Amino acid sequence: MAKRLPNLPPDRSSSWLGERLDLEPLMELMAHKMVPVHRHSWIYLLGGAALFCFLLQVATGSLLMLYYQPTEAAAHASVARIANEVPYGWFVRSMHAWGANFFIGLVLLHFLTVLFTRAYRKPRELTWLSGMSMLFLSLGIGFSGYLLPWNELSYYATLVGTQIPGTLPVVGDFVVHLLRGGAQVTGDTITRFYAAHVVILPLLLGGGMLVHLALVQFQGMSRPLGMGVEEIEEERPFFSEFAIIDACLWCLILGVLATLALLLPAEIGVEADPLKPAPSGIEPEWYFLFMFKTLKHVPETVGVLFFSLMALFLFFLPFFDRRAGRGEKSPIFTGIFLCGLGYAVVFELLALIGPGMEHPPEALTAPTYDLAHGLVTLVLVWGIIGFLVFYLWKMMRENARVRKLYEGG
Amino acid sequence: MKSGDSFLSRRRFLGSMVGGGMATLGAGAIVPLVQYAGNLRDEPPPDYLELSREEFDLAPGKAKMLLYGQIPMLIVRTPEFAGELKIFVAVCTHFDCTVGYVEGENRIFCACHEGYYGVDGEVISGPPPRPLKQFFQRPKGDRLIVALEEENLGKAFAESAAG
Repeated sequence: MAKRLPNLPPDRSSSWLGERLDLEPLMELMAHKMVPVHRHSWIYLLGGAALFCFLLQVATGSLLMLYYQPTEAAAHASVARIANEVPYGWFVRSMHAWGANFFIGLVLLHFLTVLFTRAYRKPRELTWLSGMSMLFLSLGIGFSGYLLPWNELSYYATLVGTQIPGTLPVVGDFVVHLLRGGAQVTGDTITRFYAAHVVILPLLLGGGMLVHLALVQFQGMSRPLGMGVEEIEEERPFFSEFAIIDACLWCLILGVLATLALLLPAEIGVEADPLKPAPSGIEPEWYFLFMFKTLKHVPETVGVLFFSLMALFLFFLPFFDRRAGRGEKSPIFTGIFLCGLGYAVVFELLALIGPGMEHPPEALTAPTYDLAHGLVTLVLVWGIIGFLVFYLWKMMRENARVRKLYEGG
Repeated sequence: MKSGDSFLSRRRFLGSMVGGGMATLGAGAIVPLVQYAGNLRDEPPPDYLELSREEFDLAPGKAKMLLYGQIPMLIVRTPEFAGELKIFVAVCTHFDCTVGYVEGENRIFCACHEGYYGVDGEVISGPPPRPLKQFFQRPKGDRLIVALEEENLGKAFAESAAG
């Protein structure tokens, strides 16, 4: 393969490493990936943005682990302690809570764009399978993390969620036992959800990411189905130009998360009490709402069967959508996707306009929580982010200019 | 060595032996793993529970919750004069949320998917597929014996007679 990039003088660290390791094959592999620039190029940013949120979750989650105690007696109190006593605990926890929503949101958006542009079509079936596995793992991480504060909301969401596989024939009871660590949702459930949330599922997700990223790196970016070569403005190297655009977006996400964490810090909720009836307006996280609402309107076996079939259909989608695999349009599948999306959106909206849970508003009592100081800090943070994004953008333009000179000459 | 052909089949033989051995090892590991993670030996609920008068003495139209082992138990005194005592497994038959008694309406309510039960446990409205399960009860002097299985009620009397 011809070298696409000029040889810039290596900096000290890379030459120090370069004297000890042959970095040439790695550099070659990195330089290999090109990103097609067209009117929908923004979709190539979503996976990276989700990756950034995942890394943030690992960071804030590790910090929360310093104080969180996964037992029935201590879980809720330890979360309250993080929020109200540990210096900046409220901030770390709020970043984690908002980060989780962003992570799932970006993963879902990434999923939808890949779905509609048919990026799963041959030869990228394996990338799709690894991606879908990661989507399910992400939902699992979200679900298991939701229980950990052990408040009313999380307790009942977990009761319902873990009972859903109970309607499966033969293995149902076993799966419910496996998820709950017994017949009921108890302290044993907290402990195993904790293990799943902080080690088991993130490790699997990390492994999936390695596979996913390696496949993307080797195969390059997919062009939306039906987009002609003439619609591609140019092929831009991922390293460094597109990666710099990624970095700009990551900075912006960090800023938005910090802003939300300050203005709308995560609530602690009322401690779960198995002796209290479920409070009205009980709801799971937004990304499970459409399923939760569906179960109200259809018999449970029908609902669970429907979700399972839907998940299987999506998982093995590239093997059903054979037309897309041949590079032809597949309007039937577009129809199916639109119906599915419409159904999810309608049920989400139904749930969102319904009455929410009534509970007393909570005020953070943390001594380090001070809105006025926070706002000043926020202005500073956004100043730095603006500065960074400005110069990152300049850097990207400069790299593009040098590349074009090199290509032209 | 006979031919290249036998060399190939020899490799295949070795490969399948190693593969088969690993598969057996893996399959053998699954049994303890499933038992371990599934926590299949969890405690069964108690045979019966003996309630003192303070625990089940309720004014008509009132209700309270107690734990029967790990199972939430809803005790309701129906609102008519000298109302009947009803004791339910307070677990919604739809998706396991804990149900509660609504005092003014004399109904039992599950907030998760808005299911309503009557005070005989029957489904009035909403998605619950089955009526609420009731506990069996039998007075024992000043106390009340409560059990999930009817035959266990007798055990309480037999045990106290023996002891």
